[in-house]
Amino acid sequence: MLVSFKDYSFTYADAKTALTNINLNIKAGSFTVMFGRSGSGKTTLLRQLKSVLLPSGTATGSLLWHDQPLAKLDNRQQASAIGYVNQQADAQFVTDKVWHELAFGLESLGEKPNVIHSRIAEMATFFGLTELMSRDVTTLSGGQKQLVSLASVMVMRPELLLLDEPTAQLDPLAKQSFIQALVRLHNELGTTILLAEHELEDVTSFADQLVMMRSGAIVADGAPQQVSADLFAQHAPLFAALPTATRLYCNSVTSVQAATIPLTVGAGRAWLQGFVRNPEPFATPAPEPDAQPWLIAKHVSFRYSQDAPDTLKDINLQVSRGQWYGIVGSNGAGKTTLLNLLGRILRPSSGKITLASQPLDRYRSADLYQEFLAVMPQDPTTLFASATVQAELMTTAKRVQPAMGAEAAVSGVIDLCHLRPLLAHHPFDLSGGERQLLALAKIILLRPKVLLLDEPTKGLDAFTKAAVGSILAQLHSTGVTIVMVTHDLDFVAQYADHIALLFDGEIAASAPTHEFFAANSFYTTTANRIARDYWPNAITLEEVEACLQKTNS
Amino acid sequence: MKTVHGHRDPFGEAHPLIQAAYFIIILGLTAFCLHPLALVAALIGAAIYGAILRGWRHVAKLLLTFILPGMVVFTLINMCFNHYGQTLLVTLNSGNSITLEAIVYGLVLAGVLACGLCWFVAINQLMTRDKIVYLCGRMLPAIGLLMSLTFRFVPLLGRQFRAVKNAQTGTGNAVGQVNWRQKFHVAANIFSIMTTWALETAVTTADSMRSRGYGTGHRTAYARFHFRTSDRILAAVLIVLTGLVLISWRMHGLFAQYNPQIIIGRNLWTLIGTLAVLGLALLPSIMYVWSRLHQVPDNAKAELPPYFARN
Repeated sequence: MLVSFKDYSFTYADAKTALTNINLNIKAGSFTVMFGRSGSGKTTLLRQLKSVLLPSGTATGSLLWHDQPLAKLDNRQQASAIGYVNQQADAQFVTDKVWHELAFGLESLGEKPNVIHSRIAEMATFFGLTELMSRDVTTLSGGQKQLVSLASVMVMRPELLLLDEPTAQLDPLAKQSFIQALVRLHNELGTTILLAEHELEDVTSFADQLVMMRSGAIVADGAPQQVSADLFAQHAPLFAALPTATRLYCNSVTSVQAATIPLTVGAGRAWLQGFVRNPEPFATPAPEPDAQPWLIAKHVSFRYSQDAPDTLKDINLQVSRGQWYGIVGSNGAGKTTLLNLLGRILRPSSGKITLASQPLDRYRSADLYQEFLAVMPQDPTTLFASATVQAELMTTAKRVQPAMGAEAAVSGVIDLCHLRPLLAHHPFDLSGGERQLLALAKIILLRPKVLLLDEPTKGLDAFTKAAVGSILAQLHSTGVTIVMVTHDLDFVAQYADHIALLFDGEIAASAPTHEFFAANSFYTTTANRIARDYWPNAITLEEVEACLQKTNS
Repeated sequence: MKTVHGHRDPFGEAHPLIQAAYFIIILGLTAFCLHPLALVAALIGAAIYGAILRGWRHVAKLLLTFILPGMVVFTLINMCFNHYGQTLLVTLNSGNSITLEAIVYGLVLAGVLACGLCWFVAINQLMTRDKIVYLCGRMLPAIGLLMSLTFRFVPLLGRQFRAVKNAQTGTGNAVGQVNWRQKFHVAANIFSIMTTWALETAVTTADSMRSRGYGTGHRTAYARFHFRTSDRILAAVLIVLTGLVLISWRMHGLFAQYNPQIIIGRNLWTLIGTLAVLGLALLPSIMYVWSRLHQVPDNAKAELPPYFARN
């Protein structure tokens, strides 16, 4: 065994238990995926294997590395034998150039310059980073940054690679290529991988071992298909984190056979072929009749400086009052820029935006941003200025309403956003999902009638994502107009009424949700890709499940 | 490093140590050797190399709009406030006198400044961030790492500041959106957000450094620059030329005195010294011309039959 935890527990210095009774074995050369809600102890468990990152506290039980206590390995040996990559690509860079970043670890270990040179060359070739070597790290895309982080750890030739939600901040394409890089490391170099992740859609099929954590304990551990079957049998809430094909299979068949559980879209399609007998067509729910157009952009173009190329070219869009409008598209298509224009954070270079039949420019800031329009930024921490969650919400509430109403409003929003247990925490101490909920709570306190959201589900676990979805749905049902920029097709398919695809600064397609996805064959939801041969217009998992039930009953 | 026309600049590809040594020698020379011929030689070298790197328009604009007027002003000021020297030209009503020595010395000092400014056209172009980090790192590895950390952090800070400002604008809480009584509070808010973010980032960076073995013992410094044969030749040329300059200086060939009497060295060594300074100042330009004259055949171009030719 490369690593084995035996009856291992860990308690923080403030007597809070972080890990209880962990028993976990990791074979050399295995690919282990660990999942669980944010705050379930994944990060703490990973850090047990990296002594320099260990928070202060006491541990009981044993932790073995090659059947010897891990403590026997000094920090210098640990630095090279065990690599660690987390999700904050920018913050984990030390130097300003890509080549220096790759060299940093080897420099710290005192390797000779010619050794460093050959190791860097080898790693850059393996990852295809040769072109990037003399670039500044700040000029890289998110996906490139994470690949450089990975390479800068791999140059030290670690036996074990620890990854803490490495793809949480990446767009779907960059996520895929990062996972492909991991799979290559695993297959071609035999590196042992321990990956903490909450988005299981893309990684499960590569894993040898799937581990689920809940409040500091391991509750499931085994082959992915076996764990899936167990979670389904237990009705565990985190069943929702499993791949779409897996969920579709388990929810649809009468008796679940672990060995036949599909983990990928391909496997799901193969299973469906034998399963569906005579499909009845799916009746698309009629799109809601368009109400009065409310937020209108006409011939809007934008560039960041006089001589820069246009970021957005001749955009025309209409959002009706009370509509949930989704804007999708790849990285760099101009989604965030468009949202900032609609929220008047930026002003168009040409063209006109009107809100409630008045030009957006005409509003006074005090009128526009008080109980009318609000923009939720991609990074929730850019909103947090107070020392506790409670204070954060109170300051916001007091800005909008008189003191009497503020208390009640805050109390209401705390319950809506599940923040009750966190009131005394510092906003920066919250997990990613909790930060998102707090940001959402702050925005709701501003009582907007038009809510603009930038990637509201980025990096969230399945549970928090569902919570955000239901909070937004509640707001929407009270008549709030929502414009949402996102990469998450499954989320947008489930909630939005209308979707626009932004491509290269232009709106390439715009249609009611069902129509939009039924017309695409690659750029569509996972459930649709599995079942599109039978029900091309069923786009969410629920719709496909309903179709299956009707057909096979 | 490329020239203004996109050609190779062989001196710009030399080892940073050579480049740094070269600029130190040439700036030191112009600052301490006040012989007019040496200054003129250095100025010519600076102007030509500057024109190769940035285009002659840039250099001409700099010379005509900034350096020449500056020289005139400098000379006039020196003339008005210094009254040393033997050769009286005019005696003013105040009793002060204008002397030839003060005018000439002012002109020479202005020439020194002009020369330095002109060389900085090339220095700015050549001494890029990574070379400075490397040179500092060679002297003190910790300083090199610190500079690298800083150079990474500054653009990050700027980007985060923009993000915070946008986020505050989008929720109606930015400085430009509130009344004057709240402005201070709002600005303090942004400052607080930035500080917390910077601390958070610093902790993550420190974690990343320690998890990659920083501080566990002896550390080496890796650099992408290699000392090649051409760098050795260049170093030898530098040493020889600098040696010649120093010898001729020692032999009073480059001697210059402006107070109380103008004495300018004039002997055989003046000729040798001036030629050496000229050689030194023109070295990068000569290397450039040499590389233009000895072009390698363009192997990248495919030789297609004539019927494939465009037009």
